Amino acid sequence: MDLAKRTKPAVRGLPDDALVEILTRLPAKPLCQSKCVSRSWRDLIADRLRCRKSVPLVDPSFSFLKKRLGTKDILAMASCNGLILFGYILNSSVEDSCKIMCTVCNPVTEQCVSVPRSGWSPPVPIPWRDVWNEEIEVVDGEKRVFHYLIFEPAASEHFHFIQFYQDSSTEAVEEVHSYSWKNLSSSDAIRSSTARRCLSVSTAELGPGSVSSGGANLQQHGAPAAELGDG
Amino acid sequence: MAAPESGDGNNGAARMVTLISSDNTRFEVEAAAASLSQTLQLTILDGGGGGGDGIPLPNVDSATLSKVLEYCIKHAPAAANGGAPNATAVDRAELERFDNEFVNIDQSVLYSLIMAAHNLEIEGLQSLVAKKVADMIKGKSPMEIRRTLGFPDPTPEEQAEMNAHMLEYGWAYE
Repeated sequence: MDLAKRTKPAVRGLPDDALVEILTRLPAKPLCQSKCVSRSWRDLIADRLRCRKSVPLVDPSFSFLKKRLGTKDILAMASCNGLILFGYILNSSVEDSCKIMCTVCNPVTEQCVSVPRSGWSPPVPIPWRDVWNEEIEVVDGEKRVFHYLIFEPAASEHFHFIQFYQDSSTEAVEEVHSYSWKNLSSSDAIRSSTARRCLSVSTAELGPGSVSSGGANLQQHGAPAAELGDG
Repeated sequence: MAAPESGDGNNGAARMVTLISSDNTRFEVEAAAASLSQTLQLTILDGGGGGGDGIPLPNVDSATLSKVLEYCIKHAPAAANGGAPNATAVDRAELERFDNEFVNIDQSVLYSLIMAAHNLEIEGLQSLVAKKVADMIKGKSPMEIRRTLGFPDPTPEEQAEMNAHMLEYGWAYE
């Protein structure tokens, strides 16, 4: 019987099934670190574990997003069908703190796409963090903007972005802005922020408290159709 | 109060089977213990392994097989009770102590055990050894994991990939 000893057996030589058994017992952090132990481990964790054992590999601090956007000031504002709408500012100096930008991110694939600028900004500048912070003290007459994302790939390839401009204390909605845009080819273009194009802008100005959540009565303005082109 | 005898259902001697390791050593064990292996269970149910025949296990050497059987014999009574609803806390603590000591072994032995547990499909043992390796991985840097688990030193290319990953996934290294 051939008992020739090869190299000393080690855990690295285990078959995939046995490795999966081991890796699925790791919490998120060590599992993520294990991704760079070797290429075969990385592929195993990226593919099989994620599919078969549904180990979440989502970065809970969204550091990949912070790095890509070049800022640490990000906040999740809304989510829809697994995509998350983030607001961010590039630097937190006072004069820039009103210039909130938005991005849509798929936390699983770590793809993200910028939300094109609507061209609208609140009549009274609203500083960063006041916008959606529920904990913040409500001041009479203070205005806030709430942001929402609608994306239903089965129905449409368009992303819909809706902003409610309302009074913090009375919660009366004073303005609703909604627009949609589409990525040229949804599969790979969500990665490419240059492929975005704002297709339509519709704006409605409504009296206090008179808006339905569906926003079905939005009036179409002549609209400076925010053509963003390739950026 | 006569506590039911666990392990062997029949009166008198329990049924024994013979297992033959890759290096031709014969092991005689209770069928109940060997049946913790899904692979062996079918053969044993079919009446195999008894008498002078024996079940050959060409993938398991004698050192590993004796270790595997040590586990099976220890765990067979609890398994026979089917999830052991009447197992006392003392019994469970004793099994846990046994398990912890059982996997406190050299890595090459651990490797052989993992392979044997998979080949023989012994679920409890598979979990036990996998948990042991997972514990060896926890709290280590990728480089330490590589060294611990017997990977050769990374090539410059692999090193660069590791560095890039660490930059990208800073949260995992905090």
